[in-house]
Amino acid sequence: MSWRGWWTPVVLLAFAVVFTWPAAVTGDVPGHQPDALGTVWFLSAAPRLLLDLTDPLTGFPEGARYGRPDSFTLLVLGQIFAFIPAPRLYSLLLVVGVATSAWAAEAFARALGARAPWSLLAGVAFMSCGLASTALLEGYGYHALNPWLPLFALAWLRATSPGGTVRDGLLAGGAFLLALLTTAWLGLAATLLALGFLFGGLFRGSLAWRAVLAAPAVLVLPLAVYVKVFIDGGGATGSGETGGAIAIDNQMVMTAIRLAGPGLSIDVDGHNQSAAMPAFALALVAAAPIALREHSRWRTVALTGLGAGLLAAAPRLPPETWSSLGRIGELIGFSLLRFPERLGWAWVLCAGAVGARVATGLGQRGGPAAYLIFLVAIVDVLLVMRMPWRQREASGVVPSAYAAAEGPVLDLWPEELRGLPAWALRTTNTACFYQSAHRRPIADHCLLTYDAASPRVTWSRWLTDRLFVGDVAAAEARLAEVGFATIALHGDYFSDGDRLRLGAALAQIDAAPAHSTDGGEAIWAYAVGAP
Amino acid sequence: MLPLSAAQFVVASELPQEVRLEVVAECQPNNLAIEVTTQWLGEARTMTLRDDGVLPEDRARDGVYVGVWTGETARSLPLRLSISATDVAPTEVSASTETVAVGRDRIVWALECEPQWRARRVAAALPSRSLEMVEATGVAATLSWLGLILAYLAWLLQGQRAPAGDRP
Repeated sequence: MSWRGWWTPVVLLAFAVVFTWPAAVTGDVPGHQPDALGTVWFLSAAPRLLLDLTDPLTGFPEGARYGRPDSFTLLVLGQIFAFIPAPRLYSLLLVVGVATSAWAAEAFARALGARAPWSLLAGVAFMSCGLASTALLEGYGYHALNPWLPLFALAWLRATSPGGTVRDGLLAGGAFLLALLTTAWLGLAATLLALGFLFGGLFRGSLAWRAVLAAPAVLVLPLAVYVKVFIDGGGATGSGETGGAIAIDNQMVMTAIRLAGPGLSIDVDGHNQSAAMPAFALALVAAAPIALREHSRWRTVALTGLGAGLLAAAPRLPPETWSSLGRIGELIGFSLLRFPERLGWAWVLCAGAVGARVATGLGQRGGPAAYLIFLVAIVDVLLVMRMPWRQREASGVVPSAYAAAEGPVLDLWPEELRGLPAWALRTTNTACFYQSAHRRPIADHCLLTYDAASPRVTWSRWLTDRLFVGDVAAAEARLAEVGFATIALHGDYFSDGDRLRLGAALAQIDAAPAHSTDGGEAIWAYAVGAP
Repeated sequence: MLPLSAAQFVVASELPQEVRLEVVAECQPNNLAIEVTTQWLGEARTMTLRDDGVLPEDRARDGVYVGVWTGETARSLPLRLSISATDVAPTEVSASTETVAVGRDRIVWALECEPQWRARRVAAALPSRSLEMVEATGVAATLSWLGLILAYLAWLLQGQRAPAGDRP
């Protein structure tokens, strides 16, 4: 029975539904970490942000400027699909992203000589890797909305091969740009592929220069605009971070843990971070030198992938190394390379494609026994990578207390006394997620950086202080003057004493606050300036 | 009123939530009692964890103290864990705010007495040595799995000639 072309997307869609489960059916928000809530807000805010990256509904009263969003692609998708509720859109993008990315990787494998159904292994390897599961679990699912990297690899491989056409070069340039606009990490991974394939072509002495030069011709102008926006937006967001201060041997241990299959404790201690490669893909690519003896393009692809994999696993250099390179060095070292394992996308893509090429050869000569590799891949995804079993969901419901009034809201959460960023990220992402549905202005800045506190924290710190000292009337007058209409008390998270004292003080502002316990929280919404 | 569509607020399932709390007691002083308090959607709750085998999946006197809370879906729970025993004054051993998943969730601590009483979050209700063993076994199993696949591929490759035309 011959393989029909339309079976490939159907099978990969089924794989995506299983791998991202329950994203296909849920109205809640898939993800372990609060980043998922922030991503949902970003989708909802896209129509406001698309024009000039400013948002009057967050960072109230000044409004907020988001000069350096991680994903411009997501911004466009949020605008196009603004008619779908943002939590639902986020879930659907996970499914569609995994399916299309796997399909594109499958096409790349076919360009390398793999044949269906064996080429499916490339798609499954690409989207069942640790980086993909981490993106889905941690809540930045747009990293898995990644057909651009394989499409770039496909077009660039052709452009750097004998017979490459200008069209191949133009397509490669376009796909590179889309990868970069999806997230800077994919742009960096694509850069490694670009260099590797180019050197491969140079080594063979068979470059079609017109095809090769067509790609930068597409890229120059958009890339210049991108870099300007990136730097104007405060590119080096991690400039205060000193990640390189971790001893190199400790870094290597952490890298080894991330490269191994996700252990039992990873979702408690490891922040869901895995960079593991499916074992079936690793084994297939390891067999390539024996199975694919004849010298051909697979070596270029495999060596490029291996180089990217080694870079992804390399320890981070000390901060002073980057500082010596000035502003650009800080940008690359502190900001872009905070998570170097994400360069591993290029490794997984190349290894999966070469693996599929090996499987094709085995399948053509190995008879029915070779089909066992598909069972191995299923076991790998379900039992070794443990997806979708590791996934969980946060409530997609927004507390109804927000609907009791109109106007700007000041969310009042307690502060994490140890100053750990996790609590600040959780409260900000939650408040922004609520904003995606209640649509009222809030004080939070929704794309937090490590070295900046949300303006909401400053406001709530000031208000809490005023309420505790009994300066209630003046505080209310100040809030009314600024324009806040509601104080939303997130009472569950305060200690008993603080909650009682705050409640008593706020009762002087509004004796009958709106109260709700839906949306996963008890909220008391006090109307500022109520008669 | 706000221009809100009801669909934006009620899009998710509103099934009851079940949160199972487990504490693995590495030390077992006489008459150990473990108590957990929280605020669940504005309601103060207190529960004593038990090791009497009454709850499902609980074995009596195995050192794992268990309790289950149910209610409307909560996003996060502030949890304070305290212990007391014959020779141990009431002591708070953990205070944290834990995110809880929609539907069923399980939060596990390991209770340690050295160098002081404290409880730390762990992945499974196993004594720390067993947990380390499970983790190490997992790594070994992954490596063995990789070896098994390599052996399978070697078997497939055995006797086969290299492809004459692997050039794409």
